[in-house]
Amino acid sequence: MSRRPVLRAWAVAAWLLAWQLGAMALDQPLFLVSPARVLLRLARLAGTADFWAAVAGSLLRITAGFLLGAAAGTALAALSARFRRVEELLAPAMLAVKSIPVASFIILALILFSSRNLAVLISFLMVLPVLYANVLGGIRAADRQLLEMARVFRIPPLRRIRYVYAPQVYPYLQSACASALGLSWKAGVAAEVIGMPDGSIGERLQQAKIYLNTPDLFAWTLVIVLVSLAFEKAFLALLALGGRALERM
Amino acid sequence: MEDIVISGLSKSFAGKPVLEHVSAVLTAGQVTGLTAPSGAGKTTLLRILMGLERPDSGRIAGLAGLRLSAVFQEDRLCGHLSPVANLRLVTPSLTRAQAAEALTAVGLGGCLDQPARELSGGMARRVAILRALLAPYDLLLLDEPFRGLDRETKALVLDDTRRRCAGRTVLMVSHDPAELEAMGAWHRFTIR
Repeated sequence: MSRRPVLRAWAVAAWLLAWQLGAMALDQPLFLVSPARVLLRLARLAGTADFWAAVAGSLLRITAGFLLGAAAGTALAALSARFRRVEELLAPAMLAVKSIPVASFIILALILFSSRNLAVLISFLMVLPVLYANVLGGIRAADRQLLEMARVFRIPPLRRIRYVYAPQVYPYLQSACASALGLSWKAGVAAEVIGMPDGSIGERLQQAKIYLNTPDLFAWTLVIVLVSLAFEKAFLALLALGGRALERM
Repeated sequence: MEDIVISGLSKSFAGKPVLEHVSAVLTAGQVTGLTAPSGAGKTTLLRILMGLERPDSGRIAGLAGLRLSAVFQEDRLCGHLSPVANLRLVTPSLTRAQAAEALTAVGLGGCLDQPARELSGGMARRVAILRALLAPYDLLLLDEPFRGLDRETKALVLDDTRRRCAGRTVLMVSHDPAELEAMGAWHRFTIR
């Protein structure tokens, strides 16, 4: 039986302490800034309107890409489950999206489009194949006996989807979203770092790198971790609520 | 409604014959009994009548356009839904009160809103039977419907089933002649 990874406060504190001691021993803030200084810098940044505009801009773009990818992946999976030809048509495209490095997509997209909504596209492309494969697997794994029951009793398609398919596919959707959420943030921010759209976390990260501003680099990295974790927790909590609603009639 | 006439029905799976030249008449408005040894193809015949399998040869007259209802060998309930919701899933016109009344009549009044996956085998079976009986149908197919019920419960459910099926066209598979008799299945046929 697999065990859930455990995240304990004492272990986090131990690593922070090691980081602090390492920074103090090295005494080179340009290479390794202490966690205390990072927090201080973060507190200062959080007091500016630009900070919140950058966080909101990135959050909006990456969330949009994620939601579009999740919706398209789910819809295409449903079509593929229904029509064999659709699955055959999509197979090479999904394989290409999964195999091509994200950096190649980012550069190609920069040639074709502006950098403004690059994170939306990249986040979308990262999420699409994950949702597609998982939801298709869920539909294929649906209980055949229940599907036959629905057919014999002539349950209309919408009720069939709502009460027979959805509760069976939902766990697959939840698992796919949990995997894809982190992926969308990593790829979305990477796209912003390369594309540097105005008012984004990626742009701030890139500027911190250019000016060798290590405290800002760490502070913005911490922001990415915190925002992506908060988004992931909030979204998965909403999905769990949705799951409970599906269990009711 | 006309009689349903099954003529020379045959079906093989991977070259192995399961049904061979089966013929029978399901008289309209009556319960017809089907008895046969295990593995003789009773369930396959029911699956063909349900439209879940295609026969290799033979024909069925009088079935086209009929609304079917069935108790399968398995309960086939939606585990996340309550007994009431399982009934209403196939019969949306059924009110909650009507569903509750029907469930209570077969001893399920205490678990109306419990998810079906938490029901015992006998309870789930009763829900599956009621689901079939309350659904709108022209032909009811019962595949060993009372299997797994204890004697007392079986007597209760059998009585309820007979009452609800009165005057309807039913095909009932059973190994137990007493069950068929209790259901009023005077017309019977067998397959080998």
